[in-house]
Amino acid sequence: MSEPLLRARDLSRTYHGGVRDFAALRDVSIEVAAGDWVAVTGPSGCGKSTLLHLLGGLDRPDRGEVWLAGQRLDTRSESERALLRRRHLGFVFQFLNLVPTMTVAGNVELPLVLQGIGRRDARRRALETLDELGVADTADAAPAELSGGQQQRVALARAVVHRPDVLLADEPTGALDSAAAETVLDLLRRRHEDGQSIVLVTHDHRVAAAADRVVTMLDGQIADERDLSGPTGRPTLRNLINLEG
Amino acid sequence: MKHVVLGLLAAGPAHGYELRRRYDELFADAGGEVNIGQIYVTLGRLERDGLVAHTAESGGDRRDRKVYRLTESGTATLHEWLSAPSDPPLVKPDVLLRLVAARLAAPLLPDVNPRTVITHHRQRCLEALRELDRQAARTTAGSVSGLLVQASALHLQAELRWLEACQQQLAQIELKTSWKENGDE
Ligand SMILES: Nc1ncnc2c1ncn2[C@@H]1O[C@H](COP(=O)(O)OP(=O)(O)OP(=O)(O)O)[C@@H](O)[C@H]1O
Ligand SMILES: [Mg+2]
Repeated sequence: MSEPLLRARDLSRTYHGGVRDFAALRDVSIEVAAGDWVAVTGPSGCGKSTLLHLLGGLDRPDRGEVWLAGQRLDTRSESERALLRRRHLGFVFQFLNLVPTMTVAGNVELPLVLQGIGRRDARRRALETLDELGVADTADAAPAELSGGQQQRVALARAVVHRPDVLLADEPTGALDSAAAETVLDLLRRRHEDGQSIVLVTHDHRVAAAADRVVTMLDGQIADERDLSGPTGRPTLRNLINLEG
Repeated sequence: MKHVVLGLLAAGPAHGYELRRRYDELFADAGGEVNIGQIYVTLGRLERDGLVAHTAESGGDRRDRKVYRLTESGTATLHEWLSAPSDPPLVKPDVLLRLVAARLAAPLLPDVNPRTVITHHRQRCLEALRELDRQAARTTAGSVSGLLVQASALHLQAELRWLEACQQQLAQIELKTSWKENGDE
């Protein structure tokens, strides 16, 4: 088997500075091959965001290794990690992190502009992606003028606009009603079909079930890993009602 | 089936095949598929109980057909049923029983444990949820099947969340099963 696109081995991360030290992640290993779609789920505080930040090189583990596209990520300097991130990753933060002084379109263009793509091309692609997510009409607004759900979709647009190798998304449907969540899932499904690798953190099991693999975390560890890529063929709907009686 | 047939007749008198057609239109992809025999058996029972009555209608070159309608008593029964509260969606304790039994049986059956019970059930719920989502795309808003898909998806989500809670409390479940020592005394 070829080298997975993203690989983490025995990651541990302890937060210091609270009343006492807190081991948020303990010996977590995970592999994401090209084209994989992995969902990470589990109760609040179990370490999902911590894991995603380590995978994206936004934070460094106390122990363990992170490899991205064949290169060790966690031992690099902040600026080197930023470069690798820009080249290979798209990141949706749980708390969005849109640039407040730029318009929505400006935010979404950013990853393209940083790649040296021309302004006009960048604008066109940004608008296309915003349109896919149903928020094209917000392009000229400031992020603060948007609802939480709109901001969430803009953050996702920014993370996928440059077609990164891996999309790391932290609760991308958290603030969305089911119709908007469906729009987001549709976009993820399309990108996945195009070969995009996805690591998705979510509380929502319905969203998780769209992935090929579902990782359940508990107390900083992986408690379970389920493969859903096989055929189920279970005609569930047919078994739903029992009108006898 | 009884109340469903009464409901179908509430839309107007009909013969057996017409009732089946009404049924299929409503419940088609929701797993309905009722056979004509079931309809006639139900109609027979309802007629015996005085809830429906029929008149024979001559169908030209076809055989005579019985056209059924609700009786006053049938309408009252339907009304009573509709006024009564529906069953609350109480949880079937199937998984929970397995979970506890798996814990108790651990010394006897070393290859089963509560964790595998949870894991298998999680796999099943996730697969069902995935399949439902696929089917949801094929249902129309407001259809019986669409509403059933929504209900089932939400119940499955609740079940999966509850499984997380179970898994978190496994350690406690394990601590409390100290009967073995007591029994040995
Ligand atoms: N900077 C920090 N300093 C101290 N503790 C932290 C810090 N960040 C996170 N934690 C703690 O680490 C644990 C894991 O946090 P994390 O954000 O990874 O959880 P999560 O699974 O993403 O939760 P949620 O579903 O609520 O987003 C939590 O108990 C949290 O309180
Ligand atoms: Mg989080």
